[in-house]
Amino acid sequence: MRASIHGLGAELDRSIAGAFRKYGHEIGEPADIAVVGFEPPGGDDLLQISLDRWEATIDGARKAFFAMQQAARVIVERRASGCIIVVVPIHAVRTSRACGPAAVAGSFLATAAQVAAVELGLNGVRVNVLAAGPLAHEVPARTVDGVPLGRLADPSDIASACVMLASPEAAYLTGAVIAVDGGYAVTKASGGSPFVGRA
Amino acid sequence: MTGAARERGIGRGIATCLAEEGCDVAVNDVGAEDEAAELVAELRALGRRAAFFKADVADAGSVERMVADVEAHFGRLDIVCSNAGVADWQPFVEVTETSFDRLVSVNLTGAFNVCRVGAAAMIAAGSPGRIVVTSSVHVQMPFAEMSVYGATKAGLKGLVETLAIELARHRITVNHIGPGWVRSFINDASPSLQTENDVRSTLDLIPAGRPADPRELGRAVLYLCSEDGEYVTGEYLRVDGGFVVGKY
Repeated sequence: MRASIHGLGAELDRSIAGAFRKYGHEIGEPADIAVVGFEPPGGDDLLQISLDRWEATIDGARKAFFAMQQAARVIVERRASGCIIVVVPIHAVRTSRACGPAAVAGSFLATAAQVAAVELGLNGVRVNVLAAGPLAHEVPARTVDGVPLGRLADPSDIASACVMLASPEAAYLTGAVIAVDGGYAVTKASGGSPFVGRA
Repeated sequence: MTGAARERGIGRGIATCLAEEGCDVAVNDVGAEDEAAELVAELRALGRRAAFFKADVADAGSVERMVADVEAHFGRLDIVCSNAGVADWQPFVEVTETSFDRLVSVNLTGAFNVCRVGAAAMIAAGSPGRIVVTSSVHVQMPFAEMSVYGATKAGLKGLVETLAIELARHRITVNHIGPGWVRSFINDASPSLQTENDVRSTLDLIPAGRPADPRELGRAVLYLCSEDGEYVTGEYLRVDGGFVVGKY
């Protein structure tokens, strides 16, 4: 099948594209599989961030929303079946200090994805959410202290989950929010948020 | 109280309940001056101070001016209810940029502006405070043709939970309430509530078999804003007659 990737940073884009190609998909349009997301906004407390940072976050979510919509339209118009994978930061599932913008935009897109799943099921479009992180190239090293699996995420962890969600093995998955996070979101950690002051 | 003027709205229900329990109320709305004047008169008849502050919550500068005016008028700010919201109904594949931007700017950016400016005022005054955001049952169960509305409400959950963590050390609690069906102005344009049959179908989905009275949302806000609510933060209080708790 053909896959397209929108809005994710270079590391994730490269890793997901590579994983899809290894599986046997092509990268291009018109796509049967669309992976959409936004680049994580920098972290600081919500009372500290600039209005520009807020607007940039909203803009990232906006672009991802309309990329989802366009992907859905393409699949529906071709009367194909396909899937959309929305990648959001793990902060959408469990937030922390200085993760407000990521939490807001992530939960925004996750819910939009679920509505899309409800509306488009009969059109053969599955829409699922991957709540991803904490990614090694995005977070301070000590974030690993809060990860039950004892390591930070590699882009390839997210890429494999994308391959799974796009595969026939996931044929009955739609509207799901799946955390690919080494257990980060199911437990608290001490030591304070590593994300403070990284604006 | 933002988005408080409309006659049948949740904002009015909240304002009334808070005033009944001793709050002076700054009534904000983007318009509806006549309805706002009626509400202000009713609140004053309860023996409270009340006044109308017209502002568009989507505009950060307007919100800053408004909060400064509220403080000048009333003195210390203790409670911020970020309630202003708009809705729209469009199939996901037909959502327009105009609709997206309108809902996001009011529901999400508006709440961000109000919470931020309100919190900054309370912190500067060194006083404890309460912030209550009106989200929706959509945070637990979004509805078809309401992708952007539901998304903005889910975004509010992220906003409230993050602010709750960040503002706790300033003794400010931050929570959200989840109304289900309220017979308010926001729902007048809903395509699924136009006919008697529509209404009956919707009532079938609500275990309690009726819409909420805005005062029921008001009493929930009152709890969160009271001394009893001091240890409640980052929480979601759904008041929906059981609308979204089950499948059928």
